[in-house]
Amino acid sequence: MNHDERLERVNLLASRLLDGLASAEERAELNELLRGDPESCELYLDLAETHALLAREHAGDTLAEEVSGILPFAIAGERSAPRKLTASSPMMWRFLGAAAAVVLLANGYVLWQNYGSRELEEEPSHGPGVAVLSRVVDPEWPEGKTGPSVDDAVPAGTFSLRSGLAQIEFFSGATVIIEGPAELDLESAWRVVCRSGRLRAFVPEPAQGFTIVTPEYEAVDLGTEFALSVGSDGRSEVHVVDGEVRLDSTDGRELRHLGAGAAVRATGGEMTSIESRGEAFVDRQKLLELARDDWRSRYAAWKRASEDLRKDPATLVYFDFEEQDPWDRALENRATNRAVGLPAGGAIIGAQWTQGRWPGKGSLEFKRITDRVRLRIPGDYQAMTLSAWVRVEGFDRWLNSLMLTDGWETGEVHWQISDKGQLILGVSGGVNCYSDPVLFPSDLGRWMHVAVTVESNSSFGRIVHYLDGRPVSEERTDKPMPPLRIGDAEIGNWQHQGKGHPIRSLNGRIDDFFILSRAMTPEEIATIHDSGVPNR
Amino acid sequence: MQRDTEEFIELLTGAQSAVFGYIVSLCHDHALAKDILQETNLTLWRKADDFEQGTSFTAWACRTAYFHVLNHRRKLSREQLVFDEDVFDYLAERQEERASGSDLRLEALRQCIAKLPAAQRDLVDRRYRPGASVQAIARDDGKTEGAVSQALFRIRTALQRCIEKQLMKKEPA
Repeated sequence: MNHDERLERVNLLASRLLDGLASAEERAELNELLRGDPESCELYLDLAETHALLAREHAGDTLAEEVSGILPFAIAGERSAPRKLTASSPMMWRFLGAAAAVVLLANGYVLWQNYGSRELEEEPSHGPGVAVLSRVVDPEWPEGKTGPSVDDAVPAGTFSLRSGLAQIEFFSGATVIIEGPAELDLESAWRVVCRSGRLRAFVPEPAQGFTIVTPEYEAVDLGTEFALSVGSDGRSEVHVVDGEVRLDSTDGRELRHLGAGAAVRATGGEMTSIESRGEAFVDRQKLLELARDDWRSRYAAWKRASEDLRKDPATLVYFDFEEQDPWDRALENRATNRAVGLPAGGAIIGAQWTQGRWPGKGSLEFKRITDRVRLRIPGDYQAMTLSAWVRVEGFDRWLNSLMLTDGWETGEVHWQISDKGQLILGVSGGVNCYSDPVLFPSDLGRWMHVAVTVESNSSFGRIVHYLDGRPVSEERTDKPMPPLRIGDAEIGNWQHQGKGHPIRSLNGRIDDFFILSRAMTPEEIATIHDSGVPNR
Repeated sequence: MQRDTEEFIELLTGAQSAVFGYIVSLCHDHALAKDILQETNLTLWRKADDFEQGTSFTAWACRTAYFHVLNHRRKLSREQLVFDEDVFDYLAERQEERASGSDLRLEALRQCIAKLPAAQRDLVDRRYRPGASVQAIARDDGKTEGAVSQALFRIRTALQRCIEKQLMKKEPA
């Protein structure tokens, strides 16, 4: 399409749009034609403005009336007698309705604060699960399965653990520590079938009646703590640590009533009392100790991996949020081989120091709408990788900043998350890459890894979004893309120069953030993720 | 500025066409634009104190309108949106700058409408009178909506060329 044809097409599509006839395809085409083409935009604006003026010209001379209609008390001399306005007038209703909405506007942005998460809030609070996985130590899941992450909802159905430890908190209130190998069937938040494995259950008062089913009986917890094991041969043991447990037959008859310190072994339909060895099962304290060891080794593994990033000559900035004091307001750039002109750090505004992925790991919390980290990265780039470990606490707004350049000049890069859970990367004058919604309410409050690679040159452009080490969305264009720029920018917020744009502040924590001047390979990004997973 | 001064009412009244044009350019639908204009007027009136005398009232009004347009935009699904955010923001910024020239455009438009052939002028009247729609015209004339829109497209193109010429005459050398 040559230039004139392009403008002709814009003219036709805009005309159809203004007549309310443009199809979805036509609207998308118009959007693409306008993008990055000021002349097409001017033409569209000319047509829209003419359209508006024509509509007003033909509306009759109602202009002054409209204004006075919504300003009933503002007309000089008529303050005490609002003209022509009775409660039944539609204008009055509109006035009253609008007045209610405007109260929210009292300090400017309040109106925008609560738009974000409506759709998310409408989803059930914990999905279809029966429990939450609250802690793991070296878990190994059945072959070919990645297994749930800590804080994930656990659905009803089979729960298998090949080795390691997992702690599940049921929505009934009961907590169960599982030692692998174990094979369970989670029937509900109140009832678990143990086919094999070792468990320890803690049942506070609200969860009394929580039941674990073994091949020969059902153990009903009457509070508060017991251990149970089922061998691969079907032989089972139950040890009451504290409180009481009732053993029922599968048809509901009471078989035994066990108090604290009692233990029973069941095999081949026979039950014998045995010596209690509840302490042989991993308890909560032991689990926490083991989990701490696990954190320490993961923290150390991440630190080792981060050394490579520090030294990479392509690293423009690397914020590891480590070894900084709580009063530090400069965020240090740890890139050691950085080119002349690259910053020694960023400036922390508002955001407070807090805990990162592991106890002891530093992190910044972006909570208030003023919280941000400012940075300046000079230069034009052909490619870029942006990466962050982030814990999002809420999709508060339509757009939530990961990193945004001030303003939106040609080549500038905007990286953000929408309230629908989409990852978005836009290059001004180039393309925008929206992923499908990939983040959900269950992702709130968990540490996740997000990254995006951008390649931009005179013949094509390519953007790939990654979530937790895996590509989730790709956008290619055969059109030339401008060189990438950052310049003055903000992590976790946005400063648009001059205009009253809505707020795009992030609600969450970041404990690792870097920008590379090259596009990392999918393998490299997977490695970044794998070496930084807070727990498996 | 005091909201109940004649000066404020004058500024507000004088900016109506420009702000309406601004809103239409971002939301395309002039019935919706009318509602948004009402909301904007109310906000402008409520926040009259924030207006700094000596600055552009039209620009201030457009920035206020911007939030109201965004508010409506937020209610749309992705499929209903016409412009992506970057295009939308660019258009908003440009139209805010252009809005102060709206009066000149209106003057030029009036002269250009007068020059249209009678049949075209008649179609414009029928398209833009209150409550009119392309669908209704198509029904009345026994034509397809596409054909009516096509005729309007030609008229708009002609008006556009004419307005440009008129404005160029006015431009200082």
